[in-house]
Amino acid sequence: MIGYLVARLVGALAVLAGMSLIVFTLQQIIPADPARAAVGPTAPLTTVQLKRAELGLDQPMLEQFGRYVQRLSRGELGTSTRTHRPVTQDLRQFLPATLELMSFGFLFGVALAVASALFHLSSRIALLLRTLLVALGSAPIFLIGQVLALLLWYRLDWFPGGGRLDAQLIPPDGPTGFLVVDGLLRGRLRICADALHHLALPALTLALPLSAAVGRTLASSIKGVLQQTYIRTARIKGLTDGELLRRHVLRNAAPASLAMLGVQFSIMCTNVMIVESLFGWPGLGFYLVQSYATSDLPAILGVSMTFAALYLSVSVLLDLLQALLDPRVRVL
Amino acid sequence: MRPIRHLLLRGLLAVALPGMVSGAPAENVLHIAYLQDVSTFDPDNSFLLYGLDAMRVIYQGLVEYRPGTTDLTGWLAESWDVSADGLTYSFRLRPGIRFHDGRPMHAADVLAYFRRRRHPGLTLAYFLDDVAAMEAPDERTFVIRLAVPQPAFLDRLASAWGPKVIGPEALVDHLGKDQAQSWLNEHEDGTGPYRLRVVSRGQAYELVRFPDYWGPPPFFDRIEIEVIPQMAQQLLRLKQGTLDLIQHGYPFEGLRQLPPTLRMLAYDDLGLELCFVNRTRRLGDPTLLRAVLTAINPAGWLGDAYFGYAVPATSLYPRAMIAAPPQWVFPSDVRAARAMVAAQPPVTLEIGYPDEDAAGQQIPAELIAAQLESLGIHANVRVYPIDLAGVFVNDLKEAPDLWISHNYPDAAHPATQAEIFFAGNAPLNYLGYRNPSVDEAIASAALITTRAERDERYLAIARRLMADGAILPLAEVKNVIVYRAGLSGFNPRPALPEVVDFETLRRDAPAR
Repeated sequence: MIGYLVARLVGALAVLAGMSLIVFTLQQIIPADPARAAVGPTAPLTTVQLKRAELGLDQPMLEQFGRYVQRLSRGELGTSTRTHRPVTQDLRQFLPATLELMSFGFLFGVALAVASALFHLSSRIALLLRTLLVALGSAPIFLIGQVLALLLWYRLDWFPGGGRLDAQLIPPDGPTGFLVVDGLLRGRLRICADALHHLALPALTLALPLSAAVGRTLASSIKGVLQQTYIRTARIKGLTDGELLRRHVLRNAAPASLAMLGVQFSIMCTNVMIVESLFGWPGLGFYLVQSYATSDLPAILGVSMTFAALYLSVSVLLDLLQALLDPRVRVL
Repeated sequence: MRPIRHLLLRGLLAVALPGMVSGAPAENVLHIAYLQDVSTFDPDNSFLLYGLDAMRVIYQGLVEYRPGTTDLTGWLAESWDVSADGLTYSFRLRPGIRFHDGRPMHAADVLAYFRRRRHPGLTLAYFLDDVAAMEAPDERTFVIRLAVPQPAFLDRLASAWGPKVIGPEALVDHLGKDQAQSWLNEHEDGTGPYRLRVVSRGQAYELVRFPDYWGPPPFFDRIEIEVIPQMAQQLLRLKQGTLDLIQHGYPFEGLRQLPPTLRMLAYDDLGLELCFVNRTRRLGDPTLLRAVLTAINPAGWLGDAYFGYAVPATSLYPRAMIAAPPQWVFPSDVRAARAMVAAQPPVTLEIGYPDEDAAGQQIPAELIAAQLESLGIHANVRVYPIDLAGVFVNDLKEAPDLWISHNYPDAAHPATQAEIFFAGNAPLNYLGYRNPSVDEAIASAALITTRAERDERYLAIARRLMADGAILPLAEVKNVIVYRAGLSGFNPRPALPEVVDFETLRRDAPAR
């Protein structure tokens, strides 16, 4: 198992190194001038040249790559030309909001997926719920978001339509950057409740595609497992439905769903950018969209690397989980 | 089910949010939104559009423009003198001005600030490029000496992005090694009627009234600014009553049917829709160019693009900058244009526009392309990153044939238009028009101090550019603010794009 873990980690690091090379190459070929973007459209040429020298853009490409690798190894991603702050500082500020949203979206999605798959087992009426989930989950994410916002915010006023917290509330200073958790840790229930209230719509929007895809996979895997002879044997031995589900069905149906969860997580990394823009959620996706509008290359590349690292971490985690549940995976 | 769920949600919040309803007297709060996040609150380091209105009530400069005009008036300076040789500017500062940190403002503080503004690491340092020396001979006098006469100097000081005095909390207490850039990203020490109290990056900002402000106190106690990147959501919030106004990018088509609770203010600013012509490709042929001009003619597409909120531009200067009789008329003989095109080999043109204003430029570009097609000229429309447009001149053969963009000068003086867009080395002379005689004319016009003579010189320069088919005027598009009934005192200024004056804005009647 340790060998498997090491192999996965080395693989992830290699992918990350490859990603950094791609990111640098993109930086070179994208038809944009970060120096001009930094100083503004009407700044004279001398100002642009000064900025170019400051950013090291006047150096040969090989030298630029060397400095880029050096900086990366120190965890430096350069300075945002839009916010004039180190990109790492911006990431530290915006990443927790994205992680909080993705965590809730992920958990919400998995819960809905499991519920829809299990309901399918026990109730025919639940087919309606699953159909609804599939229909909603198959629609483009911006459409789901807009429909939910129009219905649950604008028409019914159940949830706020945007933002992370009521404008009048001052968010706590850490420690996690997750407002729900920080609110609880600091004993500020008002913050916690308001953050949950604001999370509801964007997290639900993010959860629906995942729940539809994973729910469908889980349901069909469960169906397949239930037809196995060892299930019949277990029933004959007198296991209750709950025991059967816990000890045999879910464990054997899980690997396929975990693989689908990995795929859906990568889709979620893309969807979160749209959802954050739709709901004015101040996270990395929102930061990326705003940075793109001003050709802020260091910021764009920083976010790309962060999402790559995030995806690889979750991917390794899911691989490990799969290997734990199914020992055959370890020898693949 | 719905009322129960609603009740539960409300109940949960009521338990969790004690003190939501308080007995404190009602505050006057203004709620607005930006489509983009504020990049920095450092007035010397960014070309802000979103945040410009907040910036001008936090910080103040020496001079400013009077509302509705391009006339200069004192701001932190109550008066000023310019020496006969045009090199020395002496400013008499107002008494009783305090910084937000509580310290009184003296001329030495202004001097320290102007020194900081000239630091080459700051984006907007170039506004003071011609300054040779500065001094503060007494507590209320600040003197600037220029290396060369620059009649546009006061306009540069009054620019939306011009110098605005920062106090000692930044320049002494937090100067650091980066000229306080890091600190000023999210803090301030200005002299304006509002202080920046809350900075929640990407989400919200809050301004609160500064009690020791030297001028009349503003009406609103607080201004809450949310970052709402979706216009659709801003529109719903405005209708719902949780936003008071939209000053950035209200869709023109929506202005036809405003609900009765909303009002609209449309005004002219210094923005000008221009068409830059690439004369190194097919449009170097004057016959073809004349045919193309017939299609570009805004009379054919303006109504469809701007729904009545734009007029054809007839000069390369906005009317708010130089009010003059029409300087340019597009050819309109479509039959003759078709005949000219028919006599040519097949033509394909490329029309480019910048991504930063894609929503505003796409429709005009496509309408022009459609008009060109009707003449027999195929046109491709393409969006470019704005910073790429700045380097078109490096390879004009690969640049678009026509470049359409909405352009703002730095200030209301025509030198800021000519030097930025028309001169051979101008940063935004997108398609590289170069004419030494025009450059000389721009340099000599920049020294004229009499307004009538100055304007005539600049108009002559524009006529030359238009006659050469290098840069063409397309449209003057209105700036539009949509707001909830009851608000007044917007005091727009042509030189401040999309800026509401929070200092004079007030609510005359309850809006909700």
